[in-house]
Amino acid sequence: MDTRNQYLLLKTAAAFFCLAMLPMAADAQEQNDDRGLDQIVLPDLERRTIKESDIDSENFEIGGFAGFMNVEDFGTNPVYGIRAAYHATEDFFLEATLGTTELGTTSFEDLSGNVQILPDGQRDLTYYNLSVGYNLFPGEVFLGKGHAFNTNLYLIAGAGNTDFADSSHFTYSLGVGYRFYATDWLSVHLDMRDHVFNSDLLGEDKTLNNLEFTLGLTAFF
Amino acid sequence: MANTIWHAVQGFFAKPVSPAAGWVPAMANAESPSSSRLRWAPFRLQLITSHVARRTSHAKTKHPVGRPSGRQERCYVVNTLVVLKPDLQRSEPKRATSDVRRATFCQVLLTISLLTILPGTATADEPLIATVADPYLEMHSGPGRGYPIFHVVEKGETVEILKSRTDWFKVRVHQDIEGRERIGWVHRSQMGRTLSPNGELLGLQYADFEDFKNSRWEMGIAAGDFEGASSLNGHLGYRLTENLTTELRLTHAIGSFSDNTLASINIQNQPFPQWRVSPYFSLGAGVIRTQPNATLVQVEDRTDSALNVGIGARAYITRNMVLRAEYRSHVILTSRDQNEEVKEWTLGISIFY
Repeated sequence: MDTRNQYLLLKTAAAFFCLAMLPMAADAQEQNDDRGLDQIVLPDLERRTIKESDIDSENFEIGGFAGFMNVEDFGTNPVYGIRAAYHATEDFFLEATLGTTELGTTSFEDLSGNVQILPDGQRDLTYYNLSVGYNLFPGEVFLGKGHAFNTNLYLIAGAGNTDFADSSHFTYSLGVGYRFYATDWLSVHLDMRDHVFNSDLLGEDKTLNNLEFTLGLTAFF
Repeated sequence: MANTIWHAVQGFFAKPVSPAAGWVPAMANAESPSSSRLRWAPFRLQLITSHVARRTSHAKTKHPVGRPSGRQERCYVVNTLVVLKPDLQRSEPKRATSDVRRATFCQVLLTISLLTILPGTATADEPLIATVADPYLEMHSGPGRGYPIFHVVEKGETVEILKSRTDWFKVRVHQDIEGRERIGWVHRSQMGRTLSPNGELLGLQYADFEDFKNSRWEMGIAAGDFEGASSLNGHLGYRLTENLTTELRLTHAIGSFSDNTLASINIQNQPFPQWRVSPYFSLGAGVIRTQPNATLVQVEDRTDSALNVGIGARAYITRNMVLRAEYRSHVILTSRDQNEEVKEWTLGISIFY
């Protein structure tokens, strides 16, 4: 048996040792408890205080999204990414998103035949954004007579970076989103964002507006 | 239980490593002993023991007589997994990739098999029961001020606290007057005026300036100007003492000519931590990667060391948020004749906890 197997065996043994310790330790504790209760019968001690740290807080939100993104001059293409958010108050939240899409061909490339403005390797676009969101219209929607779901319409604005064609572009993003709580911890997002940055890729330096429309799913924890 | 595990673990792991002691050298004696194994193993195990000890002492103060809750037991198991995971990878750095991959696979299997044991060892957490002390407690249909109040719990009745979201607490009434279960959201201000089982008010204060002064961790984002380029950064800080804070910081500066990514470790001194607007001085070192813009020139990327000195201020805004403004001067130690100097200013928001 070589070293690695010996290792695994030892690890397994160690793990089971630790696991075996748990019930033993619990038994020891129970015995201590019995003795303790015999000596001092103070049922009041069983009563506990509740501290905020005892309560499970669910202020973080994490999930993914997929949809379509239009990059000016490069057509509309599928986009997907991940998002994480921290809900600081009932009104405000901070959000970080990371997304990626592939650029299509410009109409110039399509019409002229063989011309390629960007080599294939540089057609991947990735972006990240750090944003602040504001829950503008919290509300409820009703499905038939017996079901109600909480929702939020939020505004979001942020700054970040868009990376494509081997260069980075400082990007502002603005958007509006709709969050539908399927349960308290699972929500469906419908998002519309505009990513604004300057690019000199096609000659002169100009401001590009790139619209993105996505559907996402997030979980709170 | 605290002592039992503490001693067992200490006796088992925390021996000094010499060729004749314990199971660590038994592994080291096999086939090709590497010095990194001997060096790493005791270090990691030491870490784990302190972790276990802290958890258990916490359990002790929390339950002077009562049985340990399921949460504590689960902690031990999770800690055990932490021991196992890095050890396998670190101890075999020279093995072929496939071997390492196989070992990782086995390790994953082991982890899964341990995880399946978890539910058996863990018992349910004690429910958090609070008694209404005000004339009534309003339950909203959602965690927001506008959601309608659909149920009112009267004084003397109890509710079970399930979880919290921002300033709202999700509670359950097991049986209302009609014998129905009700679940809804209660605001912090009302929840704080209920009683815990020992008769004390829950309190549940908003985080305030006092909490800020006593907090350990700070996490934030900032934006600004990096010698003409737009910059963004994320930072995570840990307060060592009242006056000293260490900070890990990642900056991305996007300019028209080049793109800079800077990672640095900083130490900050706040001479007046008790002030609401508190200045600080910062010193740091790190690495900067510069990527020239591809559409302009084809120059290779370069990575250099960088030192920085800065001055800034934190202003406490509200709850657990602070505003931060900072000015930094970076010296980039290039491989050319002259070092580069970069000035940076940022404005950002941080959350402490």
